[in-house]
Amino acid sequence: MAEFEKIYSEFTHALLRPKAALPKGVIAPRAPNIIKRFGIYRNNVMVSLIEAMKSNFPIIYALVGDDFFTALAVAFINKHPPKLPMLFAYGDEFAAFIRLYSTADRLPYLADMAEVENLWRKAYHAKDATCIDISALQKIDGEQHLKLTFNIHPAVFILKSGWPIYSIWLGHETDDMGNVDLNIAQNIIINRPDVDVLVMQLDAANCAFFRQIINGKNLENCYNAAMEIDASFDLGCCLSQLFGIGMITGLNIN
Amino acid sequence: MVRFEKQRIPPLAGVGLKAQHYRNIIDEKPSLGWFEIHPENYMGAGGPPHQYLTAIRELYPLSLHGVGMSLGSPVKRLDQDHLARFKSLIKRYEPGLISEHLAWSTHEGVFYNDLLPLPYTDETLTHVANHVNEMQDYLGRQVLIENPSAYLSYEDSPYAETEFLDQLAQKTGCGLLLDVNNIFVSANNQNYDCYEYLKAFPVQYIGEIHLGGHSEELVDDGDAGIAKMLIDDHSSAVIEPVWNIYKRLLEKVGPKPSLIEWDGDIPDWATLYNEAQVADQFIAETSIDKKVG
Repeated sequence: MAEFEKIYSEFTHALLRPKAALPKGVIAPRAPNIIKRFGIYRNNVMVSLIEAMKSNFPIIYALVGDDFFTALAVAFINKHPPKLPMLFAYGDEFAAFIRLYSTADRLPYLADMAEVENLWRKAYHAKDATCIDISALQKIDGEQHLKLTFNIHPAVFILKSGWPIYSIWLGHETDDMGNVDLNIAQNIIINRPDVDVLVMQLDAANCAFFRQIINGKNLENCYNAAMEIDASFDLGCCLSQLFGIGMITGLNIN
Repeated sequence: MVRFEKQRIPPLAGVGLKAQHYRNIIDEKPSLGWFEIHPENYMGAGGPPHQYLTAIRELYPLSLHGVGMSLGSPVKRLDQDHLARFKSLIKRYEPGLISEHLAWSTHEGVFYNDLLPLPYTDETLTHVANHVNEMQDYLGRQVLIENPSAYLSYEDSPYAETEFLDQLAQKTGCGLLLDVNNIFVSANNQNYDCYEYLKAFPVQYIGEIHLGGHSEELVDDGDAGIAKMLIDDHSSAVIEPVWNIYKRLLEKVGPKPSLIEWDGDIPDWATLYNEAQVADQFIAETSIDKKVG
């Protein structure tokens, strides 16, 4: 082991623990208060990571306020410190962490909203791709339609929730959280066909349909999954939406 | 509007690129030498960051300034995934300069998002030199290494920082990035003289200069009184004593690519652009002095 490896282990142990002993061998020439000076590093690390969490989870921040968010973020950072030097990707485990964080009980939808924000960021940074429009479908013999499978844009994500995640998202976007009815359940689809990330609500049948599409099922399976939920499911309407919102990058005739 | 060949970073002022200013830059196409990015912010697969950066790269030369390579780490080899991500950005954007820090930020699998100090010993010199060699070999490019800002140092650290950087450049063929604000911050915090540091610095290796702002914090040293600590937070304008060191540096080395770093409390584009123009003014005066002299 390199001599300085031991120093770094002591250094990092003390970084995330405000009361831990300082690493051996650090000095500040002619400056007695080393704890305060080491505290600058502690502060840089913790504050910058809290800022990264705020930037990655603006809705959670708005919902719980600064004090609660800071406490939540500090607990999260201690449990799941970042592994990669790319902080835009930090916080994948935040939703699961919130589910287990006892004082988050009074906002039971918080974990699902963290998941919404995770998926939003994944969509934002996903690989770019060119979408095809519905005319591609019209070029294919009608008899083959039910066997088609679809290539999905890498920025497409679906989330099913027992909470009004769409209304909460929209309330945050429009700065109007007043009228959210917490007794309804909503599903959303997130997509970024070009520059802007789009968030849309999906009813249960459409949600079942889109999930099957994303799982690579053919159109017939997708249709059946939707019909099981709602016998009035309108395939034509759903397909124009599928292409209209820029979800499809290719078709496969099987 | 492109005043310089596509890749080379001109010996003029540049600005650290911030998402807040994408639209200003694309719409106004301001007259400016170059931009610098933290590659870590562009390591996603796609999306708006790349779309904007591509548009800006078509207008200006670009420099990649890494903050996550952790060259001061005791590991045998650098993070191969991170090197691969870095290299794919080089391929995509053809940067004119590439730089990293004399610091460490990842240890035992955790990234601390800060540039942490290392002791300057024979052992760390060997390690850092190996890492710089590995980085340069992998990327196929020369890398500039930046002097850190520091709040503490180590008891067992026999090399002066300037000597350490000199040895590093000699051993690896790397260049150096001299951050003038870091000199000012470290000199204050560690009780040495900025101009002595500058005198000892191996200026022949400088390929780029950084300028930025810092803040102050008071520390109670008990019987020794209250000490003023400087925090390198890049959240304000460059202050006059830092411009003065910069001026002295330019007199020694002539015009060099000089970056304005402003990463926190980010101002509007006009304010940031104005800072760059101040640096350009110093550079222009240096050139004139040289011609006259």
